[in-house]
Amino acid sequence: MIVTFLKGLKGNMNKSFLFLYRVTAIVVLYGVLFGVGGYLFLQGFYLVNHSWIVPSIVSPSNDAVRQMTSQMVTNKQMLETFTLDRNRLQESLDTMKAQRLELIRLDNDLTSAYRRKSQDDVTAGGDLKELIQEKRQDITKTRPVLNDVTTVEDRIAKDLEAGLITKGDAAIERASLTQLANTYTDNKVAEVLLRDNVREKTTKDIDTLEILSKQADIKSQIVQAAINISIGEQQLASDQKQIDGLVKAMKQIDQSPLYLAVQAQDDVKFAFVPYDNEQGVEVGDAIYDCYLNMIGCRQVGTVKVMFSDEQKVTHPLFKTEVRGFMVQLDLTNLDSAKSKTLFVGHKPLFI
Amino acid sequence: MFETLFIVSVILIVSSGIKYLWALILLAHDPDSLKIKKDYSYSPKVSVLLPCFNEGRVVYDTIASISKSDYPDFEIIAVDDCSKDSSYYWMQKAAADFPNVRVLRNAVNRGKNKSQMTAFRQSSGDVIICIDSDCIFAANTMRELVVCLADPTMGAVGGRVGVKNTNESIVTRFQAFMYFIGFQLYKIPENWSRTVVCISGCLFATRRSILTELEPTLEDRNWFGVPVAEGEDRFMTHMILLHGLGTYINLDAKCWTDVPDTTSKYFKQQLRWRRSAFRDIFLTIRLLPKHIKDLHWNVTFSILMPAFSLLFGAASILFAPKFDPLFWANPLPWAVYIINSIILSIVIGQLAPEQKISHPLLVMAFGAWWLISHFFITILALFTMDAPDWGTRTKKVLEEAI
Repeated sequence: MIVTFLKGLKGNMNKSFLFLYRVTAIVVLYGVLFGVGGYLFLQGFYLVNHSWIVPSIVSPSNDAVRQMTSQMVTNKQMLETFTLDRNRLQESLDTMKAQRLELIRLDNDLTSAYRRKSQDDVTAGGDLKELIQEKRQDITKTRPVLNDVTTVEDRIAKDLEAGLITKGDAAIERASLTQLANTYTDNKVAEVLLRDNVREKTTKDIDTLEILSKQADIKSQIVQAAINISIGEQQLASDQKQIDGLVKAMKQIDQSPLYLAVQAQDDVKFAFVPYDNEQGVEVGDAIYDCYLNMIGCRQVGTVKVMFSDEQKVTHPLFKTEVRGFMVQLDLTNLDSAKSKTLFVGHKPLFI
Repeated sequence: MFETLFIVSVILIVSSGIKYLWALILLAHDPDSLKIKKDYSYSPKVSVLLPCFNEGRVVYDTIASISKSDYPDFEIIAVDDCSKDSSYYWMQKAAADFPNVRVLRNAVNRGKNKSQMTAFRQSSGDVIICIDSDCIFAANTMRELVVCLADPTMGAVGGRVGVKNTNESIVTRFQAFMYFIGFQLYKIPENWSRTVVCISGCLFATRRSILTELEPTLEDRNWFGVPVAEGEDRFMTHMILLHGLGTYINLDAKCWTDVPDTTSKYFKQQLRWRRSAFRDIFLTIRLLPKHIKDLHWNVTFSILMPAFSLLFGAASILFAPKFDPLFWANPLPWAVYIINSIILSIVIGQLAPEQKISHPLLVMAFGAWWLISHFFITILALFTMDAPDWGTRTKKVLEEAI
């Protein structure tokens, strides 16, 4: 009896288990069937569909935004520093160029003056040489006269003693003789001086050398100034390049979606548009949010701004890297920004 | 979680794959350890049990080939399980054409397992050889099986099953690969410890005493009250191992079978085998803790590793798309397939010229489907454990001209 009861109990338990097992089996197998079917359909859908976009919400406290803010501040500081440096350098260069021009002008004046002086010296030297010859002739002529002075003095003395002439006459005659001797001496001195002048005019004297030395110094300063200007211009070009790069980077940042988030007080809604889905996306296009990512779609906003910068995101299904660009969304239903995908232009399955 | 699951699966599959490397090492360095002691003077009476369902003329060829065996003393008990085609006619014709052939017919369709037991009860041999009704046997096959059972520690012996219709379709070519790998490599380490965990039902030899002991259990196999009709080969092997007896595949005992030639037939066969594998896993969970201390460690390894590899492999296939949907596009598996196919086609051509595979590269493309289908087969098998049928032959309804 007990055995029969136990057999019956076991049979009932088996039946119950089988019932549960079969129900579970139906649920699981149909689940797998629909799951796999749905998965394959979804894969196919996203391969064929070209209107899906991937929404994203960017808040001012977002890490990327904070990083961008920091980057912007750094860029601005660097830009200001480089601009200041460039302006200082430009001023310095202008000064150096003006100084160099002054030095060149001075050098030219010196060269002209030196040339004029040289020409004058050549002329004056020739004239003086002729005068030296004349002076020598005069001295040569005066010498014999001076040789006769003793005789004349003796004659004056004899005439005075003889009373042929008065003392006054004698003094006058003696003064004339002295005057003659002085004149002779003066002529010799003049001849020496003339010779010295001629030497000065026909050879480079100390003064000339000093002038040349000064001119060489000026030329050296001009060359040094040219080198400094060249270095300065290179530095200026480098600074300008840095400035251009920073300006470009700032412009890119200005045009990036994150910049909007930096500027904004609240969250900004964007969407990634893959290049494959690029055609037909324009500002003002309707945005649709769908149930199960494909059906029961309703309009939730429009495309507000299109950005040109390339972005890369992970494909929502295939997990591969996808290239595209961002658009800013103007959403009437803010929750739609949290959807996995949105659709632009039209409902993907028209339902 | 997915990554962890995937890594665990890879570790288990690699662990299971270690068997291939192990087999190669054994073949290269210690081939003698793989050879069993054969006693050709041992020649008890053999009963060949042949359950049949919807095989048509093929069953005649099967009986003919086994009848031409060079073994001195044997009988063939063939049981028709209410075939809907001409099978019974061909069985009767075989009984008329060859000696020692007896043909029985079930009153109702009872499944392979019970048909086999019906044949067993009608048999009188000391050694029982269970065969499939679509196999062709070499003349020395019966002898090669029996001589291994001379060793009293051996409980069951199998043979090498080759593919008869190798180049019939891509599906058959692919199976030729799998059969070759299975018998020539995968079972080698199990042969080394005489602990083969599944001797194919195509060619399964055991002692009457063992089968007598197992008969009630075999007859009573059920899934919560639903009779179990398949996987008796794996079950018997498992039970024999748990009894502490050895199991062995004698590669000199050869037979050739027709493998499923279409994808749908192959799917059904794999589904049946997978159910059988799951039953084995449940049996392992139920009985292994009690027997583990008495078993060779290689039994535990050989039973557990494939089981867990199966489960984790299927789970990883289920979850892999979550983190990499294009993982099937990875070129590495394809490269491995192509290299495998080239090497194996050369090896098979050398070692089994009758099974030389044409278009091996094309066959390996089928391997990708095989891998994917494993996921579905595993899930489907797990949730259709209560399906009693003859697998690939269930829906075969042929009215052949007699």
